Amino acid sequence: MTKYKVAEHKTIRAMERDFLFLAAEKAIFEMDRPTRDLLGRWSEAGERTREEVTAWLVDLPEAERAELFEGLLQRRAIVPANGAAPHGPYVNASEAKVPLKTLILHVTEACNLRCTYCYQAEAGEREASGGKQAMSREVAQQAVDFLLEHSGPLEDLVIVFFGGEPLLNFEVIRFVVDLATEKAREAGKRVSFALTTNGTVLTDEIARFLDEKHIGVTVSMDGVQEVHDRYRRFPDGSPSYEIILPKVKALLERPHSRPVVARVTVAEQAGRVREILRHLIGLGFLEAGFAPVTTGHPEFQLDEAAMDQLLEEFKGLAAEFVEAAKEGRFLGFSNVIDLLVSFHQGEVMNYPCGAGLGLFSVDPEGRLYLCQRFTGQADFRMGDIFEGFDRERLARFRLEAEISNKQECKECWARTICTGGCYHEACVREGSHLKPNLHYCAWIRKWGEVGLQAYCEIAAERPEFLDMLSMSRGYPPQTDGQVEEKGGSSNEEE
Amino acid sequence: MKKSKGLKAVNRRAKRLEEREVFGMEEIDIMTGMPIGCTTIFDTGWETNPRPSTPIGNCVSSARDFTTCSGPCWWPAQTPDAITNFNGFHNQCLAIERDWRNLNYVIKR
Repeated sequence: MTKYKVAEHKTIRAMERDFLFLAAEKAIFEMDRPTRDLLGRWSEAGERTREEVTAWLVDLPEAERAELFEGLLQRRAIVPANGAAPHGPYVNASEAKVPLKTLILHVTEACNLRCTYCYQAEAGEREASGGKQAMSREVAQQAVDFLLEHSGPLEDLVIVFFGGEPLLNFEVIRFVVDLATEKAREAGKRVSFALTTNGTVLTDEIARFLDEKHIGVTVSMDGVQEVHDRYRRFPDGSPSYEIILPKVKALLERPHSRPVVARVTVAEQAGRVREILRHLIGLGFLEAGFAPVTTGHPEFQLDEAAMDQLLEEFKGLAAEFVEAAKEGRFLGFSNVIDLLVSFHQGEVMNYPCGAGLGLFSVDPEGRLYLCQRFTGQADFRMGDIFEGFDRERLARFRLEAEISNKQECKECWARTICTGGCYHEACVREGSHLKPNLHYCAWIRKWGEVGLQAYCEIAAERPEFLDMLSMSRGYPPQTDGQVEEKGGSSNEEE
Repeated sequence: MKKSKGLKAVNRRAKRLEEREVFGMEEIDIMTGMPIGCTTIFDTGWETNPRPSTPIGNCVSSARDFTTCSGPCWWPAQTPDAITNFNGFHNQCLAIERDWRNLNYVIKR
């Protein structure tokens, strides 16, 4: 007799309703009470045959018992006890031809700031840039062609301007935007653009250009003045906050066709995240996203106490976000938005990000790297835009980086949320980009729980809000099959 | 899509699982040892439905004839929509277990 068990899961109680998160599937269901009780009992009992479980359901008519069992099996809430656990629609990217979607162009390697925590400075030996710190028009043009040539059936492509400080090479940015827009139109495709800047060289002219060309802008800003100026300084050591503030304000006050968001590196003051978010939103940013600094230097690393503080701050903001969402208001806390959208889409990934799949970075010489964080590091070079991808190296990377190689991840319920985490972070902290980021596993699991709770509370109260968030991240709405409002017939007790 | 009383899909992945065709053979581990129907094999020992799905314990072929076959597999001459041109059979037969009598004789016109 085939035995079945309850699939690896988390249960969530939100707004007096019960939800089920299937860890392997990243699927979220609402449970009625009999199902919740059944799954609870079954989880404790372990492996059981269909007959054994059906015998627990004597109160139900026979047809309903069968329906309940089959419904659970179809939705993979229960799985056969022997045999491999069913999993999501994994793609073997080493064999499949993955089309190129995103190129990150390092239009210059030069930067006018010398932020003390910057990973660029820590990367050590960089490949010789041949004296060319800035990308030429020839290289830029080839990069555009390379993107279009390798984009396969994709119609919506992305070019990101990165650096150094990309606006130090504004001429090439302007050149690429016009060229790529035109060439994409000829090819029946569209390219959207994004730019990450430190804000120091913004002008009216640049701001007008960013608006006219619909360029999404991310400003690296660490928040209130004293926190920002702690690390973000000019080469002479002078602070940058007062320099960028009027420029950023001018940018934010202008009409902008695409959102302008802030990116905060948390190097200390982990306990001031809420204050910093309020400050940045007060300045006019649509959103702000926070990330602990990536560094091998213990001096800058957040210690355990600081990470705990960070989690408390995030929890507080998640709660604020949920309260706002229930009233249909938006709070621009990027971290929780990204997490909620990832739950809403429920995409099961076998790689933590698109690096080396549909996304690559290009240095001023035209060399291709895994992503912008690895630019200049020979070990992570994946060919160049003139000769093409280094297919052999790329195939090996895709094979090795796949999550099934990460033993620790197999046992973790949150594997579909982080998939081992950032390659660059792992490279710096764990010694290899192929290792899972064990130093923040516990943190991610706690944050995942916070996110699940937040997700279910919003799903119970205002499900359309989750659709809206997803649309802000470029996903289509999921109009059918929403969780019904309270009082809906599906969840009434009988 | 089959709605379950007990679980209601909330996110996109859950909705996809809900729409998943479980009646087909491909995804259930317990089925992997079973031959997939084909006219060249007389699948002895597979007469009753081993799936945890309706019609429970029924003759497999009866179920497959009506709802599963649409290609070249399993007694194609008896597949309602592939051979008979009775493409709209499901309009008369919304729930196969209940309405199968409505099919009457399917005659190619």
